[in-house]
Amino acid sequence: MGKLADLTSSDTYFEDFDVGQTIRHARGKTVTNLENVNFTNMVMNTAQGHFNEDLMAKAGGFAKDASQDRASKVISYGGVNFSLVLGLASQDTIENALAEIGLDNIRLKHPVFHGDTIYAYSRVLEKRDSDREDAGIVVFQHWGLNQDDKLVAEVQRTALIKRKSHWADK
Amino acid sequence: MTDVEEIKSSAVFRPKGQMYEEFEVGSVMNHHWGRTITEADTIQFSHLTLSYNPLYFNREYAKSLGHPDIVVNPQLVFNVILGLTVEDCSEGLGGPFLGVFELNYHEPVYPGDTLTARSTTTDKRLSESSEGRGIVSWHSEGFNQHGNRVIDFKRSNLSFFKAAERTREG
Repeated sequence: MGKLADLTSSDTYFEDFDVGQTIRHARGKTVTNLENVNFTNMVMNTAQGHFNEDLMAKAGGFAKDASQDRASKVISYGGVNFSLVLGLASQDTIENALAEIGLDNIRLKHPVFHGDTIYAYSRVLEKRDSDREDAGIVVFQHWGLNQDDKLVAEVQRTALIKRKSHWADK
Repeated sequence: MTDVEEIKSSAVFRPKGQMYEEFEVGSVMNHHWGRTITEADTIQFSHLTLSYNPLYFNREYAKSLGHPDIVVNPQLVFNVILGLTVEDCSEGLGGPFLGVFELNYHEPVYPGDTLTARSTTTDKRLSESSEGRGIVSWHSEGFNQHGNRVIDFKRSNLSFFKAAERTREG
């Protein structure tokens, strides 16, 4: 397989993160059936507001937020929305993680419909040593914005990240 | 000849989900179904969310870091466990998923592992600001086939009582 270090970028090790550093990630992603309906059904989330267009077209409530030109009346499942935010942020934040330790303060702030596009932003909240010398712990705050700059989701992720001093030559 | 009116008038609606008043703080729910996670599940999830850490899709890289196989994307573990809780917890509430807090990933999940879910109702309260609304909270846990806890988190959901009644009545 060659060198491990060749498989990941050289600027996402523990030493590379500074508390307060804020990143605008390069790629956005448009939410469609492929993300919302696919994952909602594949994880057996049975809440049909995420996959029954007829029900949502006849319902009030959140469906009213969907303007006429939206591609869907169903609302995208929040777990998909914040997973996309975490995914879009991954290469720049946890590409060199040995493990994801946990998430916190996940808030779903605004509904997402098919056709909406999510962009991710991240900030380094905290860095600390771990119980192993080859890796440290970093806490990131992530935000997901839609195409109109509306905040749709926020989430904090804590990860155990390789130290350059131990892994850059492996 | 098929008489649609006769079918509809004789059919008894089978509602799904529980309403706000049916939750009891402290009660434990062992959720239905369980789910074996396949390699295809996690590869697809990691790629459709752009979760670029080779741990999630390069077996040789994962083995170099001491794992027996690729690591199942932790956010897929979360979404499967949440999915298994939906019918018992939030499907009948008629309101959105508000947030997740204090989520911990306790040990890695690998392709072929089978997950099951359990939740405890931790809180229910009527909205102080608007009538006809309440919030229900749970502590949910996911276990693998060895009985080891792989994830736990706290979740809250809003209930719109009128929407919940419509869901119950069909």
